[in-house]
Amino acid sequence: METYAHTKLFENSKAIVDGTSEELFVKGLCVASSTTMTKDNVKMICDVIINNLDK
Amino acid sequence: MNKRLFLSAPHMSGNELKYIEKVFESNYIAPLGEYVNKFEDSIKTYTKVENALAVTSGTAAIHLALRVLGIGEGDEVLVSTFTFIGSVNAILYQGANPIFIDSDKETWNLSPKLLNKYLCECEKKPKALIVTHLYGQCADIEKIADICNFHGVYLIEDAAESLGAIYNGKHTGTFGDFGIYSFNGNKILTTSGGGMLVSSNKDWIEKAKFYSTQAKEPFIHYEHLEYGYNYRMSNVLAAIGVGQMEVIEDRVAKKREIFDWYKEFLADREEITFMPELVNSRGNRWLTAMIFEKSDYNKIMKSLDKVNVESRPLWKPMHIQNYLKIQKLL
Repeated sequence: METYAHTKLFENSKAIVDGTSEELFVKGLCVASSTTMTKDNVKMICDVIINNLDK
Repeated sequence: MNKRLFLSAPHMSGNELKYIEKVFESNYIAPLGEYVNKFEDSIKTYTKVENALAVTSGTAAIHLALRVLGIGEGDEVLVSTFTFIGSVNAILYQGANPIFIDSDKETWNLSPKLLNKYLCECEKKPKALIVTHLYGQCADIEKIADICNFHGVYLIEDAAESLGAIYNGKHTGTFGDFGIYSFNGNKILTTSGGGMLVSSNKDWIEKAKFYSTQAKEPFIHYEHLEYGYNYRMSNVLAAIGVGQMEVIEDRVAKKREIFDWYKEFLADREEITFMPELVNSRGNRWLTAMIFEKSDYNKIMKSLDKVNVESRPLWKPMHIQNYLKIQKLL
């Protein structure tokens, strides 16, 4: 069961929006990008990503 | 289990501890001193900005900017909706009203078209715009600066995530009336906590300095005609900053290399789109960001976590922050 709650944070704020940021939010990830990482680290991460993509 | 791979872990250069020892030797364990000055100088040298003020956080820097510009209750401030809440908080601290502007697909940053549309059509003119260069990638900043200039709106650049990013040869943070940088624990450089306020306007930075040290009037006793904040950066943390600034270009190069590796390994996956980069810009690729056209990113996040790799959804836009879905627990 899901319930919805409204916080008052930006209740009365104007927004000039066209769906772009909402689309990015529901589709996007940021991934490990530490500067101590190696190419092997990134390869391993990408293998995991690839294995979890829809066929 | 292998060591955790974080989104952006601190990465010291090796000199930071040495400079901290120098601070201890001097006994200037205080919110002022040689290393605060050196840190400010290093930012000025690197970004070519004329004036810099080292403070406790990027959020504090934005707050000071709004205060100096006299923005407060009843005023409206335009701001990127696609951002971290740090960009917006100071507007709330000053009792002003944020107006959220959406992103464009070309940059994922604030849309100059939507900005211009609002400014041409609005009845009440906003006082300022706070534009974020998200994930270290440049917004269409020249266009945005032109629009703000035309309409008489102050421009504050939130370059918290974009230290090192350049547009047409000029650093983010140096296009507007004010710019801010962050040295929080997860940024490309970190002082564990810290920020920098920059501007070409010397008087404004002097005023910000005044506000950042409790607004003390220039007398030997403490005299106050106004109130301020306690926002000045620690000399100890500034020493870390000085050490970190020695390797900023190395860090930018590495972040961009990491991005290129991700692109290389995921090249043939048609459903993946990486965050774009404007042709005449060089972002710092602070975090590699991508969108998936069909696949469920929750599955990907969970699997990455299983192999001790950190990942996160992109920023939840501010204009939908007031809508919270709660899973009822039985």
